[in-house]
Amino acid sequence: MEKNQSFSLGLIGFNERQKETFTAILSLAERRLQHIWGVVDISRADFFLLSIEKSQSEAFIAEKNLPRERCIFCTRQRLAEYDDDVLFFPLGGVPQLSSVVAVLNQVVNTASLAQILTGSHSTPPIIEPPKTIVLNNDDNFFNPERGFFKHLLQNKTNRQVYHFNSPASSYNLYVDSVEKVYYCEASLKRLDSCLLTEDVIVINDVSQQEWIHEVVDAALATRPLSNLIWYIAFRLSNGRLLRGHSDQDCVYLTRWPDLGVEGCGQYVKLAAFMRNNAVCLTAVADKTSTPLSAVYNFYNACYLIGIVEKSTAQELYAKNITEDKQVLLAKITNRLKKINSKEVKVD
Amino acid sequence: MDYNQKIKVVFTGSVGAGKTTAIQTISEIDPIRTEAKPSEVSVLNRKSSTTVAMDYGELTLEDDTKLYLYGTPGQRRFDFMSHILTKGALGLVILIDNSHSSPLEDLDYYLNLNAEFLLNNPAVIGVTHYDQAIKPSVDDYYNVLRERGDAWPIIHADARKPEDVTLLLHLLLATLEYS
Repeated sequence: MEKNQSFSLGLIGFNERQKETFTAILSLAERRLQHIWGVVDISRADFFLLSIEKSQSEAFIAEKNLPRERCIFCTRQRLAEYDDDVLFFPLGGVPQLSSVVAVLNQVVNTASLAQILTGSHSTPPIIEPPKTIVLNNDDNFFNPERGFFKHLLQNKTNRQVYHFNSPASSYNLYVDSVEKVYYCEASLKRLDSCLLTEDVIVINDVSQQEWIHEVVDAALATRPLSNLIWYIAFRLSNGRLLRGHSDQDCVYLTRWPDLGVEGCGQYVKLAAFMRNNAVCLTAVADKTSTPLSAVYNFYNACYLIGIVEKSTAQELYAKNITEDKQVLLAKITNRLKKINSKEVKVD
Repeated sequence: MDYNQKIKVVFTGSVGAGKTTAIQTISEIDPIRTEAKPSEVSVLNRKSSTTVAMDYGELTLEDDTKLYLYGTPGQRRFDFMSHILTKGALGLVILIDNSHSSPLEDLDYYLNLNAEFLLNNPAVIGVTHYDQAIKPSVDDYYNVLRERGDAWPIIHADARKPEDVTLLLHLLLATLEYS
């Protein structure tokens, strides 16, 4: 079979966020794939990745008129061995990198290349994606007690370096758990794609000599460790509430998170509301007009840096602001937004 | 000039914390600055010139009304300017230089200086120069606030970055709305 041939993959039953995640993982896998893969619209796809378990797929495939030999399935079950056409998703919506590599390298060999190249399915598949992905209970909640993040949360004594390696780039993240700071040459946002899979993260202790050379001499910028934990928790939560927590408990912030952390700045009102009221998370979402999934992400991140407490009763304070003042605040807010979006030129 | 009738925000805080820079960063006019050679020894060691009366910048809102940005002098012998400038202000942005010898005391000082204003108006605190000094931490600053019974937000801020300065102001507005 010809090397580096291009194949396309259509994702069925994934929401936009999950598609983005899969695409990010696919880019990480690129170097280890035998062929070039891209995610395309389902109508143009060579292969189809279905968000359902293989054992539950027969009726769906028949109903949608999909070519069975070119379907790939997902599983959330941790097994010693997987079928060649089954992709392992250890976290909700995040496929395991090694599984992506193994499956995509194998399916092309299994399927008849002639069929693929000629697009043998005479009738285009009938695609009507399921409303939501079926997740098992484990995937409905965010569990920080896993892999790299667990290590980051639990290490209290050592200086360590986290090597983030992807085909596109590699970054070193230095963590001093005693001083509660971290150092990284890259912005947190640049680590995003690496955070989604543990395969690309290698953790090592750092000697004093290495630390001086790599951190001190390199004059890497110092940042609070709580900011790193906040950011990672926020990103990995993926709209899920922390395992063991209830969105019906009344909670409040004991202090403000550092809203200067990337992605945190847009939740100023959410932070202000939770700092001044003790209500359940569903009420927080309602009162601040924030999607519940974003409230979960924000809550999880704040909880993991230790600034959330439970309240025995709801405490909701209504502040009386005149209509004039509300209008004024809105005008100032709009003006400030223009500064950041550079819509207004500064003379 | 009647300072009381204006829609304004006041930037205050320690010498070299970035008050003048913060106003310069977001003002749409060239800020009016009143700089002179510092007279206090502690300031002389840090800066060749410093604000002596006030800094002044502007932002124009949708209906051509102006949001005025005032900066107080950092030298303490000009503290009386704080009381003049904060009259009628929406709130206070307190900038603290983390690389100072005693930044926690600085925060306490400016909260005390503006205690009367803060009885009815909000403040936000921006900790600057964190890249030069990682201690005290934000936790230490919050301990100061907790001992005082204050609940103002604190963030790390770089006065040269528009996103940091506007975030401080967004926080001030959110505090006005919810606190």
